[in-house]
Amino acid sequence: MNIAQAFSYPPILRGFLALLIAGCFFPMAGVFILRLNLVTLRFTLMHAALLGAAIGLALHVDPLLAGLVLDLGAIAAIARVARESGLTLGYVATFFMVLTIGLAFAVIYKAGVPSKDAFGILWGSVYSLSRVDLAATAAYALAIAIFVTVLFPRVSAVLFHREIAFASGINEPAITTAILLFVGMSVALLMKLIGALLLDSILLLPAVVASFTARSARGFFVQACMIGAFCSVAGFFSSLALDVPASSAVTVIAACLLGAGLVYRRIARRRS
Amino acid sequence: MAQPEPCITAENITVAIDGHQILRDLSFSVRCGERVIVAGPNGAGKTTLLKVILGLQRWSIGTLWVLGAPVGTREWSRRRRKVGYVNQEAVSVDFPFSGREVVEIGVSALSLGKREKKKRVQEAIAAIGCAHLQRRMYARLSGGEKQKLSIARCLCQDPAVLLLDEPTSSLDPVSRREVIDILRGLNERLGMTIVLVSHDSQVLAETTWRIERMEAGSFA
Repeated sequence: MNIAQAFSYPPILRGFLALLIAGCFFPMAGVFILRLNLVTLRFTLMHAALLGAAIGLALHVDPLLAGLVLDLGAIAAIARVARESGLTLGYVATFFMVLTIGLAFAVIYKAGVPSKDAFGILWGSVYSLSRVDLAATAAYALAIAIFVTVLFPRVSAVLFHREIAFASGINEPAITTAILLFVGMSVALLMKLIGALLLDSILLLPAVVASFTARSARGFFVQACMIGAFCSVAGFFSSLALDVPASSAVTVIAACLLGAGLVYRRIARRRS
Repeated sequence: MAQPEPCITAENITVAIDGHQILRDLSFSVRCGERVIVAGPNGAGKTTLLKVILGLQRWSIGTLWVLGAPVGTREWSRRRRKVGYVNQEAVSVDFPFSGREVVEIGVSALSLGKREKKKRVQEAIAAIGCAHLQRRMYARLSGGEKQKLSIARCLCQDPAVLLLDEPTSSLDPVSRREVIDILRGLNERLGMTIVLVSHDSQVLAETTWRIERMEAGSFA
């Protein structure tokens, strides 16, 4: 099957477009995760999504929608508790990570939800996306792009130092909450797109590679997005050419780029 | 000649964190245009005092006015941009900010046009003499260079008050002298009120500023 033939199938075309959009824009959320040390939060959101899926299946509601709602609820709760308690986001996220997975298993057991169906939310497929999924991915990508570009000075101030941002007159709590919401949305959408276990290839790895080469905050965002786009497109076509799952092809390419980035950094450090 | 108006007035401020009283019944006043050093040993509550003034730390008892507005009110929210803050250590970030991007943080919340913001950044950079640091990566600068950029960042805000938390603690003698000279210049040329927290005996010895000594959460 050649490329033109492949694109004549709507699921493949939708999958390609979704991967391209995600690759171009979602690494912005990866930059947030890296800078604010939100790696724990990313796992919390996976667990919260699992709890949402379990509740959704128990109540006969769309599990993806329920997972998304639980993710957003978890984000709001984490931001509030961290602010009120003075604890770091990492500590609070760890608490919710453990709580949500515990509750998820309790719901699965008590409501008699088939665990295979609940855990299904952790596995994504670019070829199973509906038009609504694609539209949601595009709308979200537009939202994060507008957020970062229009509010760039304020966002970068918060990324630099939250207290300094506040002292500079920025509404730091609002920007931080928005950042957390964007991270939550990215994780939720990528779980549907390529699955929870592989979402780092689009979310985090491009940002990590960009951190080796960028020389300014603006450059960091731009390079992360360019690397994400490359991984998505190259991964998609590799998957067609080699007949392997698109998500694993994207992940392997992102991992190779990370390896190249590490070598580049080592050489650059030796020279300096 | 009439005395200048108080710029910062704290009355009987008490701050307790996790059951420990960090500030005890502390009263403090700084007049507009003054240069004050708050000295004292580690743990005396100096940094907490600055954070209270900035609105970053809540207090349980007492009243606090900054630039004529009670801290925490809507009126103060509008005026807090007139208070610049340089924190304890030059922020250490493993993130590729350029020197200029750090200075630009100072204008990020101001309601100004792009051109005006750019002009403010240029002027602040020129005033501090750190044009050569604009394109360099912030993470690779020395402590002194980072502190110069921090002061330039605050200058962009056109502050009436500048609060500095141990700005010279990690600097060599030459850089320390430069930073103190910059602050003196800002006070003399622009009438900026400066409150500097320090336990650096060299700073205390080299300046003729008003010195307030803190100990165990209150002024000695």
